[in-house]
Amino acid sequence: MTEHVSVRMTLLDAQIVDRDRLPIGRVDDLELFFPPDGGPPQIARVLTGSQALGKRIGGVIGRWLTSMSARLRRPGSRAGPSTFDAGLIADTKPMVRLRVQADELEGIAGLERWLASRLVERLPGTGHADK
Amino acid sequence: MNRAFAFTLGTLSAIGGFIDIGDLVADAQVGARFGLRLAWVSLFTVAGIMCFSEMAGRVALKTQRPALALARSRLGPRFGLFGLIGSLLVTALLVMAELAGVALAFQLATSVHYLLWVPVALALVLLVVWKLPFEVMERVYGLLGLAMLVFVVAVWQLDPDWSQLWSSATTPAPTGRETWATYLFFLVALVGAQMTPYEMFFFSSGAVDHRWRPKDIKVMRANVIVGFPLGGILAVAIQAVAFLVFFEAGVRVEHLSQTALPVAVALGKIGLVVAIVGIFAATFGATLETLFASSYDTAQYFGWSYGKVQPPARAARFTTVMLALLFAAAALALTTLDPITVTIVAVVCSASLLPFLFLPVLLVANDRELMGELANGRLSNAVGFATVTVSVIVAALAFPLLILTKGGTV
Repeated sequence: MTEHVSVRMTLLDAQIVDRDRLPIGRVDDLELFFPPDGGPPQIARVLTGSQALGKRIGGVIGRWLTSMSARLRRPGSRAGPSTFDAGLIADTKPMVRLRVQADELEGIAGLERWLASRLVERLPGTGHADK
Repeated sequence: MNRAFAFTLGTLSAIGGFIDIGDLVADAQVGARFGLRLAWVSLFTVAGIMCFSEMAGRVALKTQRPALALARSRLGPRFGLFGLIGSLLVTALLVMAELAGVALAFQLATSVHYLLWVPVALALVLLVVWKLPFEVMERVYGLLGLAMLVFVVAVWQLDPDWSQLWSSATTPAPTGRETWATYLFFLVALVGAQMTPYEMFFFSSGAVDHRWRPKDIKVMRANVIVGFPLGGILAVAIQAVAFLVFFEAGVRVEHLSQTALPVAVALGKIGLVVAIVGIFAATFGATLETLFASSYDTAQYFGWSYGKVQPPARAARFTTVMLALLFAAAALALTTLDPITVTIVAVVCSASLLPFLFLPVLLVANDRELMGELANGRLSNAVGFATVTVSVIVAALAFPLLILTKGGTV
């Protein structure tokens, strides 16, 4: 029980950054794993993105956020909120830092990549041209 | 970091944040209708915004993160989302009003209708956002904004009867021809115009972008102590000159040119030119601040990468939010909606959001686990709590008064 409470205070809603401290998203929800022998629950996966966030917010706005986010995601990606394995977490203080780079995470921050390649990098004066 | 230039963050927060289109409109209207009878409000707003900017700045120094970004972990995602949606709606209105203010400054200088200048103002904002580094941006507009001091000079030049000014300032009640409802309505408008929450966000996000550390606490406090009272003095000066020129004649301020007119009366063409430069800098600086503050706010809530420190393509969602807000605001400005009316509505809505944005900052700054020795002391908590209490009352009064007085027009 104590672990559950502390996870809620320290992990839930925390900022996630990648190995190079590039912000990726927030810990929008957690998937717990209950060991069959009845031991304390462990964190299996971290859910991040508006699809998971919407479910926690609930109500009209929450449902809208979830369905918008689900629709925006690429058709190829599996249904359900985007997640990554909790084993990728290197550090949780002061924020959740991962062992990998953002680009190595499949299906995470898809909107960021889509907007970068389809919109922002195509605008004059941005992207690789002069930076 | 260059200490002399470290001050400019505060100056910009003061000039572009404290004095923006909201003050240029609300202060001039208040001065023309109530004289200095609402000047005391600035004592409260300056103390409140100083307290909360210092708090937000302190959180940023200690944690390298803006206060509102931390609030979500404390208050949960719902509370934060409410404040976020509210402030995005208000910001869209404010950015529209600021952009129109930039265009109106051009109109004052050229006599060409402001709607034709809106696209020019938009292009200028895009150019600056895209091409100028954060520090150059705030220095240029902070320094240009000092031109607003011409309003203080104009007070002296108009050679007022000082005892009349003093007796007006010490009479906290409506004048004979006004009602208590309009008096209270303009009180709310002044609070909304002077305590705009984006000042606080911009200040703390700027502190993060500057990579300020706990050792920079003196520079941060100096910025707060110099910057915001300067803004408060300017606000009262705008009220005073409008009082001296318009009150007797019973003229109501319905156009931005009327804000600048008393300066022209006092100081002639040169004064007018300086005032136009000041108005341009204040509204342009505020356009950038409101735009950045609300995009920062959105990005931090969702945990996206953000900021002038990341190239646009590394912060694509942040950049998209900012562009969408900017274009929506420009489109709104081109609908010929009266910028003065929009400004008054925006500052009143902004006043009603204050408790939702102040409370999280107060909570985070009190978190000893997070803040350690930099957690709030008694003074911060006393002023902070008083400010939150008053802002709750102001927020509750905002919409009833807006409807009752028809936006102060009766």
